[in-house]
Amino acid sequence: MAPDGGNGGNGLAGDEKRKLLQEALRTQGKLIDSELQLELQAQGAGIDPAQKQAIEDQLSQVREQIDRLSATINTLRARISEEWTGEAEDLIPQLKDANERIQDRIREIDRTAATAQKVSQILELAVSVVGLVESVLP
Amino acid sequence: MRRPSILLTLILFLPWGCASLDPQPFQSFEQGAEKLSQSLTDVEALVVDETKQRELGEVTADPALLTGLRLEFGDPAFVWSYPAAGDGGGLLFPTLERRRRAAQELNAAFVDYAQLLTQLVAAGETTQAQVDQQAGEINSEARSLIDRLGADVPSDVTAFLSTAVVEGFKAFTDHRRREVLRATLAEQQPVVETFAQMGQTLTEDLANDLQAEYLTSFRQLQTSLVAAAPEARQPIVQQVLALNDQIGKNLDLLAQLHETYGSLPRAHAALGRSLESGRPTLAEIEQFVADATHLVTLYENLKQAPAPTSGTTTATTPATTPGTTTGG
Repeated sequence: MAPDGGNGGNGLAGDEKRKLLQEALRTQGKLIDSELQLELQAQGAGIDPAQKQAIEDQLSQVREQIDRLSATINTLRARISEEWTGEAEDLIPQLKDANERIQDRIREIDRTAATAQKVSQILELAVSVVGLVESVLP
Repeated sequence: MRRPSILLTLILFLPWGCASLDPQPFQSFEQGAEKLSQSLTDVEALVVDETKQRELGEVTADPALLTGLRLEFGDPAFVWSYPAAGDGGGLLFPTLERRRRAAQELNAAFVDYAQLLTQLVAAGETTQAQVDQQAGEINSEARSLIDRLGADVPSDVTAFLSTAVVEGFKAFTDHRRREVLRATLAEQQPVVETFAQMGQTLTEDLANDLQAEYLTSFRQLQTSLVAAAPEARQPIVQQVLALNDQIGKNLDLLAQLHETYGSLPRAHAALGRSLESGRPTLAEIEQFVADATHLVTLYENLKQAPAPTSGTTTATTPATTPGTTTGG
């Protein structure tokens, strides 16, 4: 139960992990919104089979990303107070920069008019967030 | 270990150099810490139950996860805890349980410390042996808290009451010199700030947990809504609104708890200032009364907060892959 050495998850490192968690939760919210849009599109009348298949494919990708992001969010929640390795400490400046870029990206996506493009952009963001969370977990 | 609050009815006037001490600021500090304790316990219990029920299904589906539920024992033999996150097999419930117990120990340390201060300034005698005993209990609670939080504790924090602070309180019991108590409180101030910060961090982590649980429940309701016939959708939308009300109120309460933790260092610093001037100012007394009243209101609001409902009563829980969750 006692700390086993290292700089710990307190202070700057802990704050950046928490900010990353908040950004991951925001991204997951956007994915859930995308899932709803695609599900309703798939139910729409007058869609030809090719369009429906494309929607189903994108829906499958969104669901996969939701599951992956959920898993990384839960792991990050559980480990938010754990020790960081020396190597992970070096990630702090990159994390700060990444958190700001994620915020900017979400705002930019919200301004995008086309739904199809928005879903693709949210998927790209989710992939990058999952990668970022996995990189900071001990 | 808790002791009943001490009721003061008399103040004895002592010679100059060990002048009478107004117990009101110390009683207010104690009341604030006690109300905080119960409030946080009520809120955290809600989140833990939600997570426990969801992860019960995951362990049922994958018995290998059961290792995450095996308790660990410490020294003395009655010390127990859930395993650390890395050993939890991916389960979040053990982490939340450890966090909840850490918050209880944090609040117990604050309450017992506030009671120690109230005893010190109360009429009558407090012996050095009593100070030693109570300080030992407070530091035991702090050690347990530090073990539970592990890495989230600054490396220079090893005890709630340092040896120097305990000796200062003991010296105060000899001659009740105001300057001795003021200097000791000043030395203790940074530690109070550190532990209050821990409380704020715990509420922030809990807020993140509430958000994650909300997204899980919201997604389940969303799935149900899309699958439902139009005439059957209204009740599901009402469940979404009820979920929003529940989470919103809990987050608002956590925000108030966060602020209350932040107020403890200010209240503690005011104790020292009250000793500098010889008597607390009327404004300081009024502020303490206002803080205590606010905490009573907070506690009453928490008792009236709606109990959490499951994410849905009609949704079909999406199939989950063992070791992962759907929707966060």
